[in-house]
Amino acid sequence: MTKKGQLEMGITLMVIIIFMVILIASLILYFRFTYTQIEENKESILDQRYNSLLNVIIGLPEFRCSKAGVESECLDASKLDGFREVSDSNSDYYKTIFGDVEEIWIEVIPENGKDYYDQIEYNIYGGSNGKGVIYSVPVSLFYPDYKKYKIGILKIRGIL
Amino acid sequence: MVLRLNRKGIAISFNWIFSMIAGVLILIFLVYFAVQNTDLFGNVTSKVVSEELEILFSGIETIKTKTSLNFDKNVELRFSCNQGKQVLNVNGKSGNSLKGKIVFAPNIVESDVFNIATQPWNVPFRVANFIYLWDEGYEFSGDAPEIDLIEELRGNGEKIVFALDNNAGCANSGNLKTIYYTHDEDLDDYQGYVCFEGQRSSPVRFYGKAMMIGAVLSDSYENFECVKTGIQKRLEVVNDIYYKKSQKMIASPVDIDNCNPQINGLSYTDAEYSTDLNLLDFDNVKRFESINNNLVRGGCVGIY
Repeated sequence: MTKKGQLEMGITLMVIIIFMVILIASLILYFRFTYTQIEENKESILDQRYNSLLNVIIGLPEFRCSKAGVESECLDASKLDGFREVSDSNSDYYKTIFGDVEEIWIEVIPENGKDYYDQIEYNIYGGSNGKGVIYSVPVSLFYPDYKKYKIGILKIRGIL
Repeated sequence: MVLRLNRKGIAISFNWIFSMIAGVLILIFLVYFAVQNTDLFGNVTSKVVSEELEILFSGIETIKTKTSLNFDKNVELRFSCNQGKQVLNVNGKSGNSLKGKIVFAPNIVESDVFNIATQPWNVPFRVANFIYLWDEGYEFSGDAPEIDLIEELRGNGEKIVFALDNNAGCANSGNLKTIYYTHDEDLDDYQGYVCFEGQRSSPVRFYGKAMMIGAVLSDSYENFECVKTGIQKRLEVVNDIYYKKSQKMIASPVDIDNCNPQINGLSYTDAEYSTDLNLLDFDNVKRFESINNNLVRGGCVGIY
């Protein structure tokens, strides 16, 4: 091979190497960008899903308070108290409604006493393993026999 | 590109080979990019429609509403039944479970715009809001009941006959789907049965205005029975909740002083209720309503 041939071979190899480097760099950039986009989409879909689940829970007749069939904007604490037993005995059914959430519970500001009225937390569904993102919304709790209201926070722990 | 057997020819070949490799790589990259960003074989559309319907159903299943959903392109929704659970296929793809939602719709609906409405099912407490989905209206004949949503469903599609219940089963039906019903003035509600294939079919019972509207949209016995399975399950769990609540009220330390539940011999303990959907009737519902009213009038906490 002549010197000119060697030179042209060298140039060709250089071009191939530079091209490969640019290609790999752009592929890395592209996939990183796509990955970030997928992560953002996933987060926004889960946000929508869990926020809509909070609305679904608040609207379920299993929790909503009513008087002679007329519903109002609160959750009935006496229903919440008995719900865990019902959800445990119908776990497959509630899994289809609540989907892949880890846990659903309601926190209440504590007061002194012994009755369900003084419960500081109603565990509605699932159990805590401490993982996942928490979505919450304030709710009004009605204690029908005490005829009193309290403020609670409905929380769900979603899987990310 | 011809490989010449001289020294210069080697360099020319390399350039051609390099151009081909680079071209193929760029082409693959572009095809891949296009596939990622276009609706490949309709998969993206079916996923988007599926997600949008799920979010919409979740948003409206707790309220009474009527709306329409426009996808800007023709979409086929196919409702089927898998082991007593409703499954939704969009454009023949991805069978999604409806996550406990009770949806009445024809087996197949195909359009770019869908009508969607909801109606609560009360027996007498609310068990669920049923979701209705349809594309074209129905032609009603006979004694069509005066219900707003039935009027909304009017159109030029399938012919459906409404008739007052005469307890004669499907024998007097013609060849069309016939809905026999009775109206109760006190409850302002309906009960009856459906003959899906006219006189050739067996009657299928329904209770309530919301289920009667559902019977209009269900185009087969199997479709209706599948939705009924979901309703039956909800009735059982919601009834269970009210039973637990009544037990709690009996045990409550504060309500008894203010409450006289033994009015007309009816109390919390009488609040037993038939959870068999096929046995549910006006008498059953009225009895439960009467117990609840007596409790409330006696100063007690109502069950529902």
